Amino acid sequence: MENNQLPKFSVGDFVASANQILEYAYPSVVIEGEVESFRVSQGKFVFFNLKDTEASVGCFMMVFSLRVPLEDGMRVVVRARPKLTNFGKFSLTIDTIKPVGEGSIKKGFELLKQKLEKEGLFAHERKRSLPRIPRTVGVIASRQSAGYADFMKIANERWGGVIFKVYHVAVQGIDAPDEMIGAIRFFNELERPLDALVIIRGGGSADDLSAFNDEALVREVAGSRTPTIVGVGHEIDTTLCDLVADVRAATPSNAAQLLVPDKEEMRRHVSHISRSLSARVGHILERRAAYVEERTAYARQLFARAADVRMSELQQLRRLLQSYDPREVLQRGYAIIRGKPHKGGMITVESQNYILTAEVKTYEQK
Amino acid sequence: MSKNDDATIEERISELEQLVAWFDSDDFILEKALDKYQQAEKLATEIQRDITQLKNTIEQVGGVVDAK
Repeated sequence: MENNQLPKFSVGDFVASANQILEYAYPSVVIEGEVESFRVSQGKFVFFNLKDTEASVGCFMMVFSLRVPLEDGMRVVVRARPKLTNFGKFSLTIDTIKPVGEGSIKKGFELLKQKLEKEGLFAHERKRSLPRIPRTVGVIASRQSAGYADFMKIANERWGGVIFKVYHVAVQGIDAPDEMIGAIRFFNELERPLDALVIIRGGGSADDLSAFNDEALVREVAGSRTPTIVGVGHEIDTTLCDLVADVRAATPSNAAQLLVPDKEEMRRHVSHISRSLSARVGHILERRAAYVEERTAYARQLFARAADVRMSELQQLRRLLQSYDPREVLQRGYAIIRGKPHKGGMITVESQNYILTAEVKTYEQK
Repeated sequence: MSKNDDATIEERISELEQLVAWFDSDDFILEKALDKYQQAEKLATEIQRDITQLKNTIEQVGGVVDAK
């Protein structure tokens, strides 16, 4: 083929054309590989190579898109757009990235955990308590999952009268964190705030649960204006969303147990109040009757004591009065003399047994 | 439901507990005890009944169920 039959470009046009072809063929691709030469430039741009045993390709992304801390050697899966730069270098522009494989997931988990712990996101003081009986609850879950079914089963068995607003999301995979973030924002922007926000997922592999270690999602849970309860996986599983939630449930079933009271327990409680009230009223009436009886007895006692005192005073007065009786004096041998004492005058002398009349022979002043 | 339809179960349990606490409070008046007792008994019965009758409501507010 002659050159004049071949397509001819300027360099810029060729790069643009190549990018058009790439964009048409691979608008977005998912690639798994190992991180190499990871670095952050100017605090904004992330560069690394994604490699396997056969090849290596340069990657670029903005730091705010980096949802899990990375280190060289970690295995990751990326969703990216292939691109030829104006310098002729082929690279992947990363839209999303997440660690894969147990070792890398664990490494990413630990790195992010340390970072968030330093920021105090797991601090006990940040935890809010859930209302004792919630009325409206937001549920973020996959409606097809066993975890959601378990949660609703236990919630319905335990309590009633709650409005559950369910937001269906993917709970695993590369899109799961953003879907859950969207759901949390939806609930937090409702005009009437909810009483609680439940995020649940049943058990799965470390890779299945890794969506719940996404930094942006963890921060969204931490910043939720509605108190959150997170129940992900089985009892042995711990995700960063668990750690940052206001209430951590071991499983979706446990989330239902922590969220709503048990109606049987509540009925027993009310029944106990009712039964104890009649006993209490009986006891109060007995106490009141005993009090009245005791006061009456005391009043009787006071009256008797006062009467004794008065009687004793009366007797003393009577004794005093008796001592003033002239007959008492005559009994002691004295006599009463009546009449004026002058020579030749007549006087009467009264003793206990006699009244004498006598003439005054002499008298003198003492 | 009770005459106080707007009150939640929790609010009515709290009301019941307050009625019971009245019997031990300084406000206790023997003449009012029977009224209060009957009021508490009625409230307890209504709460018991309402707890049994309550049903949860589920509303789908977002997301496409077909998606995993």
